[in-house]
Amino acid sequence: MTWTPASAMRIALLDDHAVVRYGLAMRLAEEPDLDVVGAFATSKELMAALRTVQADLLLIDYALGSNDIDGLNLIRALRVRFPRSKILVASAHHNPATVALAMKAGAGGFVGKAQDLGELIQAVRAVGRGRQYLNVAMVAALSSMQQAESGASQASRSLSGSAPPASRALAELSSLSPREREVLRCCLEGLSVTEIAEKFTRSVKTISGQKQSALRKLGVRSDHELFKIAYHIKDL
Amino acid sequence: MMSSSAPQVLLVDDSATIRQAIGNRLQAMGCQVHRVVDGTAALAAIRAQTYGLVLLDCYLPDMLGHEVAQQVRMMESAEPQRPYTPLIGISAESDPAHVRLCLEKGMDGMLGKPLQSEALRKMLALWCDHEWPDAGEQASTGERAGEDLHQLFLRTSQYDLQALRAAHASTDLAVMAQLVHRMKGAALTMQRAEIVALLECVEEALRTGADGLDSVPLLLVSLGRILEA
Repeated sequence: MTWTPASAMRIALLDDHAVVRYGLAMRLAEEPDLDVVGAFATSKELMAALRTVQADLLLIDYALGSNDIDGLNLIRALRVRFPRSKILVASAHHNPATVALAMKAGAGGFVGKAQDLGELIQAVRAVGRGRQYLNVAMVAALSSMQQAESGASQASRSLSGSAPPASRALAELSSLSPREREVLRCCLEGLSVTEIAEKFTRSVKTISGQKQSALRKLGVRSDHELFKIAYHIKDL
Repeated sequence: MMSSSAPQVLLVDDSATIRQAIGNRLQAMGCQVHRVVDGTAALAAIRAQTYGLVLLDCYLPDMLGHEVAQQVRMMESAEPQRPYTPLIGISAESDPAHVRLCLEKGMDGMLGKPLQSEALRKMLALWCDHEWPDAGEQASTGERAGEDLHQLFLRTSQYDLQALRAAHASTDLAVMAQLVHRMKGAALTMQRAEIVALLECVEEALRTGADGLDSVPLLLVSLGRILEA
């Protein structure tokens, strides 16, 4: 038996492709803090196993088109029946409509099949710890989709002063704390971490920590990426 | 492997054809089925007993499916000892916005019309741990049952068609929409594509309003001919 730290995250895999299951399990096994407790080909096998095996994270691949609601039903059933297990979906259907539905059904994160395994590991850790994970491009696409859908009725509301749908959606998605939001807003105004620390009379370390955690929640890795989605969070 | 007890399934649809067709199929898959016609009856049934699965048409005569879902979830949060009721919407529409609305209001999933046996089997496995062998229900729904179902479909469709004529005469668009929806659900279940197509023309006419309504009488005549054939 291989050694794993006491707090290793327990992961169950669902993928109908044996090669993918094998590859994922091998890659995840390289991480000392991740422990693959099972790999299953069908939802039936997965659910049967979950009755006896605890898993912190379910990494599920599912043919999840916006018209194919099978994946949606599965996510929801897993969410309701095994509420302690977080769900990360890896799917080739990495488009905003599908992702929005999956997240609504209870997924904690969604990664495209084209994303590299390093990013997948990052997503596994984030979702397993109870955070949401979507990549930057998807967050941006989702908020523009919601903006487009909410249309004229919302436009009049944002004119009257409340936050426009894009930033609201983003705030919901990323669950930023008020402090983190404040720090991001200052970053977007071009203030450095030191300047923000001065402004709020806090330590540079505190501000830096808040900024890093905000970026992580947004799935953003650098200032450069933050500015790329700045349009969508300008009303932060 | 089969679960020890038969799952209790509540089937909510205002079409008698669908209640019979789907209800029989569920019974043949080893379920105990309770059938009701509208949202009020569904809420009363859910209040009175626990169901392993509820299949809920999205457009009921008295309320929308997601309104039923919302009330069930309110009931559950007011009474925490109450077990969670899985609610699956049934809809001919599969547009993501509608699906999202239903999920937001408390539904757990959606199935398209007509309901496929395979989809029903999957739902029973997902929510009730109830496994039933593929096509196992075919054997027990004999020809006799199929014939009865066909008669029921024709009879209820003709009845709805009469009501539709009356509603058209008094330009009651809401009643017309409800009747067309019910007839379409039944025709989809019976796989009568030509009837579905005609009903979709009526739906289109209802959408375009007064101008479109002129085309309705001819469509209703065609429907009547098909149902009598």
